[in-house]
Amino acid sequence: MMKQSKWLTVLDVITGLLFLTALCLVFFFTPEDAMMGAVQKVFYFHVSSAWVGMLAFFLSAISGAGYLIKHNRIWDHVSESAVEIGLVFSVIGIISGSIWAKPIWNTWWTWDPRLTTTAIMVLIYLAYRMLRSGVDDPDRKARYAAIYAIVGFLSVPFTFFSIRLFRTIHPVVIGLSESGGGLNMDTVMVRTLVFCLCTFTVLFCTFLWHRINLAQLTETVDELRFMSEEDK
Amino acid sequence: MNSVRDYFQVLRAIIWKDLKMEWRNRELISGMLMFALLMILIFNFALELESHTSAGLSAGVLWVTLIYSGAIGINRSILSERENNCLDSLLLAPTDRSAIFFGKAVGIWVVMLAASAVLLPVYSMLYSVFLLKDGFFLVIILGTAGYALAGTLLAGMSAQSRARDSLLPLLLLPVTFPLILASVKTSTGLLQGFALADVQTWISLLVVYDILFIVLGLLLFERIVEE
Amino acid sequence: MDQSVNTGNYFVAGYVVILVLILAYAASLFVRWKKLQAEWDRLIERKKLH
Repeated sequence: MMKQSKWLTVLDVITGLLFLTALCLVFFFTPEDAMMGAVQKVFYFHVSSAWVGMLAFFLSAISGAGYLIKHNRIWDHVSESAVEIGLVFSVIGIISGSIWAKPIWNTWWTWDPRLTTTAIMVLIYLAYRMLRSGVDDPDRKARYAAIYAIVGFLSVPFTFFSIRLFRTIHPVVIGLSESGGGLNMDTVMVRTLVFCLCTFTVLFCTFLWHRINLAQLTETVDELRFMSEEDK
Repeated sequence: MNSVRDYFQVLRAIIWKDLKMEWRNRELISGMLMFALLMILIFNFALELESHTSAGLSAGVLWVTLIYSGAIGINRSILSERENNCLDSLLLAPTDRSAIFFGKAVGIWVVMLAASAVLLPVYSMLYSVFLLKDGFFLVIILGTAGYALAGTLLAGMSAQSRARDSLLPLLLLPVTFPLILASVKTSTGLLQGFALADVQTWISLLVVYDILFIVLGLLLFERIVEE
Repeated sequence: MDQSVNTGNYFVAGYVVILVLILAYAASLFVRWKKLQAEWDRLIERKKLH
């Protein structure tokens, strides 16, 4: 039986506590926005999720570069894990954003730069996963994944910039691009937001650690399976 | 100095070989043109294009057509390299592997340009929009260059996967999104009668994107083909 | 904005979706880990038998 590290269990507990505290902060100890009402509180976890998504994809590109330089499989595990977690949190960001947008802007979706960029980012990393599952040789898979993680991440600022530019040429579209900018945040709100951002970053680290363990175990099991097939 | 000369010799040899083969059997360009004409035909009815369509729609139809036929061309070009085991012998060339990358990319780029050289007049005739402006050529040149570069880089990987040709568009389209957007917007602007100076930002976006993929190809292609 | 009072439903829906997705992901990590461990145990056992 493979045991997970004691420290990881400690981290699990800390993350759980932080997460509950963040929830309590948002639910009971943060004032409602005077204009938007209760729904504005989605903001805290929405921004945090989007932040984790970005952070995860950034990390996947960095560890992709790490793999190409060092040739150590651990970098591939980090990159693969980060992409999966990034996808989960980007999707959470998109869905929670939609739910916030519906009562405020009266639409589930707008083609504003942030939303569109996030959507395209999700598509890039879904393609990343398709590429991974389409290549059999583990070494080649790791190499290709690393390359695509780098190329994909570098294209993201271009995407954002191009949609931004697109929108400034079309001023007809309701100026929603500053999704947070319209808020008058008092200090309590800022404090809650910062706390949520930190909590989600810790949550990301916890998930990442678990996911890397999973990736490593998958590799060991695959090797074992391969060996036991050879025995026969 | 010698190695630089070797590099360009390999580069020239690859481009020359591709273009000569293409000249002989016209496999890529005929496939791409067929596809492009079919797309225009379908768009005509799907979008109910009139003979005086708006500039934005024209630019959009034109670029979507170019992009998809381009993907077909890139796939073909890279896969044929694999099937004939040309790549293995190319890899033996005594120079940096990025020469192969640029060779293939330039080959595809030239074919895409040739395809648009046919497509633009045909489109101009069908829809009475005059596309043959010098600014327009610049956009086509920059846009197809970036697309050919990114496509060649990613096709090197997708050709090795189990899904082969169906994977390339999935990898390529989200990454080339800014390129496509910039090309369409610049074309629209030019068709609406704006001068090149008015769409300068978009042009610079195209240039920067092209440079990015030149650098990426230089750095990463080596790692795609290594065994 | 007169609907400022009744956005509470969206607020609740938002957090339900966020929490469900995060918990579902945590659960999926756990399940996959357990499955792999079982597989690992099985393979080790078989190796010992040989």
